[in-house]
Amino acid sequence: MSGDMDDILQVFFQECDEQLQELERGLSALSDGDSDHETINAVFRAVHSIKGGAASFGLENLVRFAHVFESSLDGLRSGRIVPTHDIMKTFLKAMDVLSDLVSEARGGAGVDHARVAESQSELEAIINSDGAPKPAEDVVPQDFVPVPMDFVPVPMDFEPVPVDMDFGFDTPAAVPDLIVSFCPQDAMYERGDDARNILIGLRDLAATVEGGTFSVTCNTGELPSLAALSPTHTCLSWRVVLPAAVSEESVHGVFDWVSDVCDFSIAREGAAEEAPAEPEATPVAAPEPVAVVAAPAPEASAPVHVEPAAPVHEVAPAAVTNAIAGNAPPAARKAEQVASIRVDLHRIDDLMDLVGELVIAQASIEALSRRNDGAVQQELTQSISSMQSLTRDIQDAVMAVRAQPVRSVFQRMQRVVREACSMTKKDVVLLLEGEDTEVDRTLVEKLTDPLTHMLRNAVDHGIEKVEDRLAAGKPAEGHILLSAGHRSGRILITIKDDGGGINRQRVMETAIKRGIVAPDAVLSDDEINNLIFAPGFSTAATVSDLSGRGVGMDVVKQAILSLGGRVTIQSVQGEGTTFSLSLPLTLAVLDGMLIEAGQSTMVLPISSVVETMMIDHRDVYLLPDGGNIISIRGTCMPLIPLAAELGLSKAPTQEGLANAVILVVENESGGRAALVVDEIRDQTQVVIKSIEKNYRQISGVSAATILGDGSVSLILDVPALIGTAIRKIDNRTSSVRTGLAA
Amino acid sequence: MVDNKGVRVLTIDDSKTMQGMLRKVLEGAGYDVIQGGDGVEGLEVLQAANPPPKAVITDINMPRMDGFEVIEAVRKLDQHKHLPVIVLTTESDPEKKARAREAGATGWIVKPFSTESLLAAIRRVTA
Repeated sequence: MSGDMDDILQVFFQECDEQLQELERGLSALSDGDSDHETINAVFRAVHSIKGGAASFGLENLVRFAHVFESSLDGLRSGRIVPTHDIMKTFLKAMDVLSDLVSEARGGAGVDHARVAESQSELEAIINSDGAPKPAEDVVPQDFVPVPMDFVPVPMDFEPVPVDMDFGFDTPAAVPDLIVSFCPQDAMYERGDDARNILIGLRDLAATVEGGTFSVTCNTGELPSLAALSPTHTCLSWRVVLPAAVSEESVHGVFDWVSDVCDFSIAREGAAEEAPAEPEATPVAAPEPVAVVAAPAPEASAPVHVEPAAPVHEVAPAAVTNAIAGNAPPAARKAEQVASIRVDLHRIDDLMDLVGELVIAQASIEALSRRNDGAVQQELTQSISSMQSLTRDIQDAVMAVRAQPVRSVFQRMQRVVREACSMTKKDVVLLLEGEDTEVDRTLVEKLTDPLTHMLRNAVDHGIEKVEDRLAAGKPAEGHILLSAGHRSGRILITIKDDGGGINRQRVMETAIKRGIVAPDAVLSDDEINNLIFAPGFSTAATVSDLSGRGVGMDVVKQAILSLGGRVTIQSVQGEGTTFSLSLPLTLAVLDGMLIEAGQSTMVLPISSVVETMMIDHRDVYLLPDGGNIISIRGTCMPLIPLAAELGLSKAPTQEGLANAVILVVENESGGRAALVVDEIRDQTQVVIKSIEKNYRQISGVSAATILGDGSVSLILDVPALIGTAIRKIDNRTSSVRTGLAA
Repeated sequence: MVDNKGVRVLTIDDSKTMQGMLRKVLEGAGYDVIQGGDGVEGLEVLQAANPPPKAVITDINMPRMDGFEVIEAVRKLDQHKHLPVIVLTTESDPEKKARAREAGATGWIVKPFSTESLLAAIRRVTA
């Protein structure tokens, strides 16, 4: 295809993604024992569509593989193949290969050809085992030169051809002209075809050779009287003389599609003409042609002909309605497809930006109205409050546009688990729940990596070896449940396995060995669980293919943190482990707490604030180098004078700390610190503006926002603040770390 | 060259790729293209079309309603029962072909199609 097909090629790749998702959904359902006909059809169609599109773009590797895949699925569709566990595994693997081939065609990473060949031979084994006779077409096509259609290609233009056209050349006497006689049956017209189409086909054949005779004779001998004429009954037949150079084979080509509904005969002039099958319709049997007409214009003498588009007779609307109704049930039965349009993401981003501006403008009007103490204030407040609710609605609506179900990411995890299983020689089923839960699409994309690592980890370390499972009285097959749902304005994703649970004793031993905790540290179960998120931590007795990838859980945690999320672990020894990720619905707005520190207004994400209180100086302990620790209900944590930490003021004195306001903040692993602030001002929703994009990265600051009064305010990076404070203390003394395990 | 302008053709295919390609090829040749994303939608488009199409090109494998059902349905519509319906499919199975004949298909084109063969097929039934 030429360059102007590029945009269609892009559509094709998008469609491939959709089809692959459909395939994954269908094969998963089949694996779960849901083998209803529609599911199998959908699976077949997905592969079929990819093959069809790929063929149009000459993507041979893709077509070849899709063809074999499709053929094996056809066995499933026709019931010759039973979807056993092994066969489904083969199909799932083939799906992964197909997906790789699509990526390759798209210009992505090259495929592993050995894997393609392996999968292909597995599929071929399925095809060969189904016992069905192999039609010739089942052979893998060797090349994809466009296949000619059944009609012989017809040149584009034609004019009515005069009868007895003589080109002035005498045909060699040795090869006589070709006589074609044909008589269409009623059924041919019922199929939307027309004798005219055949005449055009024959005329075009005549035009492909030089010279010779071409003449058309219409036999109207069977034409009844006008009164007896039935518009649905054919009564015309034709006799066409073609130049001698036209091959009989090509004439057969013209009749190929209609051979069952049109009687025809082909003979060389002089030779005895072969009579068409139906005697009463034999045109040549009538010795004298009654009329000689110009082709292709049978209408002139053939009232039988019906223009396809013209109604034969008036149809009562009710009849049409009934006819539609007759066809409607399949439509009504199947689920309605939701209409959708494709919109460039940047347009929605622009819209989101504008909504952000609107939120700011709205807040600033609100701030102004508070200062206005005139008579209009009450009315102003009212209209502002209705505007506020509208703004909120628009914001929600735009966010909904950007929202995407987590399905696409979740389904990708099936492959991750499959691959992890084959590497670890374990048998694990991944169950999905709540795939329809919607989150902002940027978040959906960023979830892929962390989830991939967590699921690999669950298969590799969570699920025990088969013999251990059997020994523990569990089924050999491990289960991992990946679920998503909305929880109080956030999205909660859980990964729950039925493995051995976290072996806390071993975790402790490793952590001590690696110097992550002090040998005499006393940690709670939760704190020990959280040690697996510590950088450089790995308890795998043997380094497997998976853990050898160099990605630890600390990276996962960082990724979740950077999304404004939290990870928590629950683990029961012998029963399994559950990881819970709590994430914001969007990365564009944030519920924040406005605080004052060092004459600056700053924002803290509300999700990280545990509690607020007044300092009690008796709880503050001074470290030898001037740092402070505060003990809150027996738990020690660093005390961070926020203004000083950010370089906005000098470190406060002991007296200055007395009666100051503190906020207890927590990072995702439960590590806590107490921030000393001057004042808590408000709680509000703020629009997140990237500071890295507009300025540069600042330690302790995650982003900026614009407040209602138009001032720029910084959003604090709580995990970074806590991390810095803990590191400082770690450098001072190791004895306090026990209470600060992260 | 005969002018195809205004000659309306309905294409029914669930593949957006194929639809895009058909539109490009057909509009390039001057046809007025209307489209349906599956059999059910195709029939709805056909019923609603004014002027009605002069020919239909349909895929076989489609959700909700396949190409065979489409042809059968068209043949049952008094207003459109003689409408040429050409099957455009990757299938080359003779059984499927026979089924399409039985259902009343006017022609059969195998994907991938060449532009010429597609246009020739349509010309043949709409000229």
